[in-house]
Amino acid sequence: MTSVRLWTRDLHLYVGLFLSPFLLVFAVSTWVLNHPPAERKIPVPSPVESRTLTLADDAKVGSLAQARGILDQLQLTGEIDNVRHNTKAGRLVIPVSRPGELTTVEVDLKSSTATLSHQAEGMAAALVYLHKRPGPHLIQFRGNWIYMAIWGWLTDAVVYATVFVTATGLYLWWAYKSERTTGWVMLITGLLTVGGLVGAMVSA
Amino acid sequence: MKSWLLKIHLWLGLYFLIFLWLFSASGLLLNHHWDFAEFWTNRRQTTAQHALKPLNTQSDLDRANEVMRQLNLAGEVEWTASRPTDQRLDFRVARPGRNVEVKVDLTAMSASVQDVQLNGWGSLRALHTFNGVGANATRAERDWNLTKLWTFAMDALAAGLVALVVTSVLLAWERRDRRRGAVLAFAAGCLVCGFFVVGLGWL
Repeated sequence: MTSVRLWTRDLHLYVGLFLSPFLLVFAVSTWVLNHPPAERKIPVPSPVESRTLTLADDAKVGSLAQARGILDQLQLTGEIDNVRHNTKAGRLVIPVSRPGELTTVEVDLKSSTATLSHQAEGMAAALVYLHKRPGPHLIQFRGNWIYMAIWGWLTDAVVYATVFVTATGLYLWWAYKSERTTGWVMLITGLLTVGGLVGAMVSA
Repeated sequence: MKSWLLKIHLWLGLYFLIFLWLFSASGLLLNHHWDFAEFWTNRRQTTAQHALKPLNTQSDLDRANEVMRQLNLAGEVEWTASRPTDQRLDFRVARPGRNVEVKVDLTAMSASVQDVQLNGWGSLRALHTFNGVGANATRAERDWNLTKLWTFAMDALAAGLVALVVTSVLLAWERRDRRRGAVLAFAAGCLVCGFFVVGLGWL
């Protein structure tokens, strides 16, 4: 066995094994996304908690910076999903999420008080949350919590590692001469399945 | 045993290769807003008014299907708005790369049709999320056979990934000379991934 093939085999093994738990997260969450329960279970929120705040004058009302300052005072961590400013009512609504959890902070700007309600959404919701992040929506808010920014980079790394593992897998298969014919059959069947389905949907 | 595990790993990997590349590429497109892959500003949008023949069916889905037949449309019916009155039937016909908003006036027997067609990048993104049970749908059920098949293919890919992971772990265990490194790589992956799945809840 050549040294290139040995190196490729080892890299395929180690990178693939490191990647495995991430692939499981994406696989299981795909199943959850494709088969939502017929009636969505409404999470039971915890009792609402009320706290007094000191609102900084220099922060723009409704900005991400102001929302982060409020969360710091409340000692609350997580990704700020968005900030909704109701000018007429003088209120801010800040949904703060972590995988499987959602805390909604409602701030009364006139009385400088915040009310917090917390929802635990469970493991399936946590997997779906990670699957969908960072995602295409509300990009100006995405990655405002360092851990979700890191998750964003990790998802990219998972994609590039997947391409690497499949490319090295192709090389290793080609070197495995006794499996070439069956391999071609599987590869072409897969190609025809994807091509047929995509072609049928796009051209329908 | 080892040779069968290797064969299964190889066959599944080759069969799902194109699926994996498709979902990898579309996943990247969803997470980034690259200029070269812009699709929304490049969409083709048309609006038209069509007269309809009387509908002979009762249920909303049957009526929608009859309207689609008359308008020569195919795709997944999505109920995006709750019905404003009994005299209206509003729905969307969706498929990757094309969304058609249909608003039927049942009294005047006419349909207002807004057709939005996306370019290849938009279609690729849509393939990643097209499962007929969108988060904004008011009545989520799959009614187009191709949606059912595509969802089945996504489920099969998910099951295939689980099988690939299981066979890779078993194959790694068989390689005594690489077992320590393999255990370390797998444990590192579990730790990093586990931190995000479970650990973030503890912070």
